[in-house]
Amino acid sequence: MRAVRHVVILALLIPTSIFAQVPYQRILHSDRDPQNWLTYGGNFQSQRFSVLKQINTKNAASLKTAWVYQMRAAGTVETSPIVVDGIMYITEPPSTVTALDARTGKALWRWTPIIPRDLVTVGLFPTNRGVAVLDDMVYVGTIDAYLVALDAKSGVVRWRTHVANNKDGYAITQAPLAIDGKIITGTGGSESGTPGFLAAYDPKTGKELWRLWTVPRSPSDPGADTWANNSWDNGGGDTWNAGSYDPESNTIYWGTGNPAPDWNGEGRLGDNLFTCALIAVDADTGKMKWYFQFSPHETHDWDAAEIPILFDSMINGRPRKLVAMANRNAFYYVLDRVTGEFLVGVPFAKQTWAEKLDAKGRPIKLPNTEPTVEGNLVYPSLSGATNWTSPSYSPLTGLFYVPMRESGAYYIKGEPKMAPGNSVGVVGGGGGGGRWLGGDDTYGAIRALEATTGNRKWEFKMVGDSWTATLATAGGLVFSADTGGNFFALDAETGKLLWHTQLGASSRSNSVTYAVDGKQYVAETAGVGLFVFSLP
Amino acid sequence: MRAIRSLWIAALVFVAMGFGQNPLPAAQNAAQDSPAAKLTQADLDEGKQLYAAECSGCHGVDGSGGMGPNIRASAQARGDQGLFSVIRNGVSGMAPVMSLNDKRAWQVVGYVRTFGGSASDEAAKGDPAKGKAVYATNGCAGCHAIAGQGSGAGPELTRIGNSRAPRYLHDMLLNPGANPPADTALMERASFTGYLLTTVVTKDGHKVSGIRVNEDTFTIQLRDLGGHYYSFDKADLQKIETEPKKSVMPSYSNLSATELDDLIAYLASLKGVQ
Repeated sequence: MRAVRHVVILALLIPTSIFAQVPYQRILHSDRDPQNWLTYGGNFQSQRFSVLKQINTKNAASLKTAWVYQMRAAGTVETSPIVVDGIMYITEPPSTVTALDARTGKALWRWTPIIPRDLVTVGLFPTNRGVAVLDDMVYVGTIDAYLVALDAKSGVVRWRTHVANNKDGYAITQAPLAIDGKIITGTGGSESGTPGFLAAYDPKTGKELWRLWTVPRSPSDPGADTWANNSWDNGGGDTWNAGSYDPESNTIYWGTGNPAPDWNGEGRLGDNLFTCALIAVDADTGKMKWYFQFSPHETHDWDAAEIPILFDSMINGRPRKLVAMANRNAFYYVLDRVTGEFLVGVPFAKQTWAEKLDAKGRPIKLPNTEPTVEGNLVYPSLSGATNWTSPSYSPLTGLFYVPMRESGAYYIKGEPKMAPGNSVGVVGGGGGGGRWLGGDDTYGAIRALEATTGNRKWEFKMVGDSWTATLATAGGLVFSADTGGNFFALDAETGKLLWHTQLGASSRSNSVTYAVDGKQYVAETAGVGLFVFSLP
Repeated sequence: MRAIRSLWIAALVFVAMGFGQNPLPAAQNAAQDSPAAKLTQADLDEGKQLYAAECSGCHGVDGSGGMGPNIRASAQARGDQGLFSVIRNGVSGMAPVMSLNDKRAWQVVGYVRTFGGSASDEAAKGDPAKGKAVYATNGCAGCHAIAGQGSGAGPELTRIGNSRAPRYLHDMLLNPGANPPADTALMERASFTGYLLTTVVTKDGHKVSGIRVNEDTFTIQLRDLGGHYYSFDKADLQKIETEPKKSVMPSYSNLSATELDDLIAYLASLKGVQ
């Protein structure tokens, strides 16, 4: 029996070591692993930049379709693929995970959760933006607010943890963040009057390790004095997009969403901390190190959930560790990511709500820019000057490439009707809404900003809104797509159009690049198709 | 170019956008077993909030339209189940409202039904039979089709009474360029202006005018009044000019007040092929 036992133990050990595909160290050094795309933003810094350069400015014009995968689920596709050693992990709406052969697009396995019939999704699409990988597992947040660990080889469920109550309006659409010994996720749901939070889970067991609320939960909590009459109880500050991570300081950076109710702030006078802010969080303890609030007392749905990009550069002759965000409120910000100190803040799109930012980055608001019962035209629109789709940063050009739009909206104030923790199912709790300007009065663009100053270097204009990330590469390229079905490559230095192709439906996702067997590919979704391109 | 110009002169009535190709279900009485019949005042209040958040951006805060069509009258015509189906499954020009679960969709149905608008109620002023003659003698069928008869150059009017209130029809007949309808012929174009007069000039000097039927970052598609389609790469164009406040349809201010009322009554009576 002893011999047999040894064999059994060995058999159990061997697969574990063989299948440990993505140890933390591999993600940490993703720059040494350029054939893969290991995190949502390409690296912990969320730069969405690849050192691959087989496809470059000289040959991009000859890109051809390598394969197309048609998703089995209908709905809005917002996935950002992860690629590990020739296997691509994507999500299909609302919460399906599919593993594909990254060379051919052939499906290897597919996992679909049972979604409750009485699902609550208020103010968000029932979709998913991608998975995280760590060791031998694939992690996905589901639309009914569970975090699920799947075996990377088979799609078998290893554990499933209840993150928050969907009946209250919580939902997970964003990709988790996998770091050393922790899976981090936020949730959506502030439009239902739920309080936002960020939480860490044990990658092996799904046990919750810490939870950080982004709005006060009691009158004695930090920030409670910034909500008149304990109005923090209405919730807000959801963490509905992905975050970034600085391994050196073990700090997580995450953006927070709007206070509730949204378009009517009369019942929540004050700055409403920590909504519409960037928070820096100790990854071990879940304690907030610092915060920077972009839009105090926000009333236009300008969440600060946009992706924060981490980079290092010289500012005023000094080397600085920086974090930059192109914010939905139309300002581009650069902060010291160690201290949270405000360094730069300039508009990158038309805005009519702030006279300027003061020396500490706080906006000085203009009069008559609040939502009204009749509707008040303010720029940018409810969608913001940019939104959840990722910007990118190229360390080669020093440019920050932001997918953006020039658009305003008539902001309408409604009657707030909140039922904290018990969703009334209303965007902003009935605080109002808005009416967008028509497509002929607006346009989308890719804008290249000098990352340290926000100065615009070039612009590529598009018909229609922009709902696709930018992807920057060492091949001197920036990829993006428009809502008219065009996927295109621009010269990263000049913005010159180098290649475009028509995919037949709007893109609403994040493109990535990877390589298999030495051949570089670029992936983008359109409609319910995933299109992958390579050189002939 | 001469041919195009002469067609423009001959341009006739462009009234308004229809709802698309899906036939409306027959008007339904509120069935006793309809979930909408069981809604409480609290449900209707929630429906109002939901409507403001999810629907008003396109259909206006009172259902009178905006980016999307006026639904005050069509909501009555569709009935509870029909409205629920539109929210749940979408309709030509409108995607399903995924953010509303069944309960909330019914709350919205209940609220929208309180609008109580009805094209026919408001159109009682004129005589539809006489209006039909006004339609025939003014050459409206040169651009519009009703129940299979007439031209497809302009919006089809077979069900126009379901989608446009008399007030809107009146304004369109007198001042057709003032409030151009959204481009609901193609769902993905719904945020753009429909029937936008556009002139392009190619780099080799060729000029083409027509209605913009589609456009993206790199290309534009026009249809002239003869029904010919043109497709251009923008890289080949030196100029694109649009006239957003001008309609191909002429003003019918020459009609007498009675003729106008009769014509509006006729259009408002068009509820689909029976």
